[in-house]
Amino acid sequence: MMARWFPVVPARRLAALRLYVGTFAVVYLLGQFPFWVSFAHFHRKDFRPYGLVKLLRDTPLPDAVQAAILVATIGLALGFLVGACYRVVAPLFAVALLWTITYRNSWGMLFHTENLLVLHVLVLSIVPAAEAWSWDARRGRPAPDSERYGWPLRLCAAITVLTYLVAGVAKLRLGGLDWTSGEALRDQVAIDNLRKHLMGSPMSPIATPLLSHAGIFEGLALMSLAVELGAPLALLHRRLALVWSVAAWGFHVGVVALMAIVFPYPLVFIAYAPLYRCERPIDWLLARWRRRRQRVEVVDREPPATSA
Amino acid sequence: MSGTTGAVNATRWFGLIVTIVTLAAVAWPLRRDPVLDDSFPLSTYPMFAARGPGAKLYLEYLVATGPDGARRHVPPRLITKAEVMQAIMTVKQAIGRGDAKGLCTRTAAKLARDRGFDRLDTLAVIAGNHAAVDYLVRHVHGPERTLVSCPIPRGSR
Repeated sequence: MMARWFPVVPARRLAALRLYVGTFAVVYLLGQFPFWVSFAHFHRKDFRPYGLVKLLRDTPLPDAVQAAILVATIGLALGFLVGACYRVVAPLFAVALLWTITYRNSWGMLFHTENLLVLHVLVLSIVPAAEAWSWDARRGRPAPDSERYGWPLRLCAAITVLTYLVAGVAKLRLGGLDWTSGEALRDQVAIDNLRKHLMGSPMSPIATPLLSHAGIFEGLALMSLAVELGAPLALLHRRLALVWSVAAWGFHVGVVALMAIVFPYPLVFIAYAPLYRCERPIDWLLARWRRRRQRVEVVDREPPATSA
Repeated sequence: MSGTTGAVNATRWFGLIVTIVTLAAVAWPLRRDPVLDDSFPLSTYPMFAARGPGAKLYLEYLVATGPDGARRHVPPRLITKAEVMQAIMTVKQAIGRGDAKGLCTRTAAKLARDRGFDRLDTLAVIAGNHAAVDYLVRHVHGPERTLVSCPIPRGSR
């Protein structure tokens, strides 16, 4: 059991997860910047703080302060991504990201799209995820394989599957076994799409035709529940992890198709990366790049052909 | 050798403590009310779980109308600059604090500058109560009540 939780893995594997999560965070924060830079369009009375932001009680921050925090968060995200002064920058980034997203969620609507990102960053911020492929590690010798890099990956994987399990249990607690009839899911899809229509937003193009076929939603409900309650199986074996993560990804594709709700972190597969030998795509890219560079150097060194 | 073992033990202790604390925290919402106690980042993930009888949806929304009977629902970008759900909360909370008229006037000013609403002259804040499947599949609309209406000012672009 202990050996399974503390596998000896290369430093590159944990570093790869940092690169994926860091890249996602930078791109995501930049994409959300126009929406999160100011909350002046919300009424102060709409401020309902959650989690860490409860420290503010019921008084939101001045817009300039929150904008400065957002800019700092993006700067820290870049530091996290490249692994510069990681021991200091990574924990600061984790707290800043937690604050920024919690603050955004404190304006009338609690979203569930960034929970895994924040939880993974919190873990990565206190482990040696910058001992390879980082600014800090650019001059040192390659770190030997170690269990120091193994358990954080197992923990991130466990967090991923646990969040799905919690979501599955919530369905059973609120809907009971009746939830598997598909009626509740069909109602949710209908309500979500009607809500979008009434708010002048685009609906899913396939939802309305499917709503006429209740049987389809029974199958979808069973599959959703199987993905969520079966999530812990992904921790048992790499092949089970592959099957589960593809099924979970398919679940999110279905959510996009039926409700136009995007969970970007799982959709780009980073949520499932800790279940894999996630350094391999980067190894492959680097090997390709080196081969290409070697070819270019050989061509440069060859003497020019002389004409007869 | 003992130094290495010591280091490994320290790694394991640290790893075990962080693992136990983190997983307990992520699982902690299982003991909480799935709807009332949702939070961030430790969530009960209640989305898609709750069920209301007959997929009924009561919602307050904004609709612009024209003299020829044209009707267009106002999108979130003209109410706030945020997502659908935050726009819904903005409308709901404005009505809740007695500011429906102000919301109507502020939004009408934005519509006046939007080409998509050129042919429309009146904005209304509406409370509708619809059966979602009936509305979308059978086009049967539920009752709607106009809470407040205001003109869309012209000539301000």
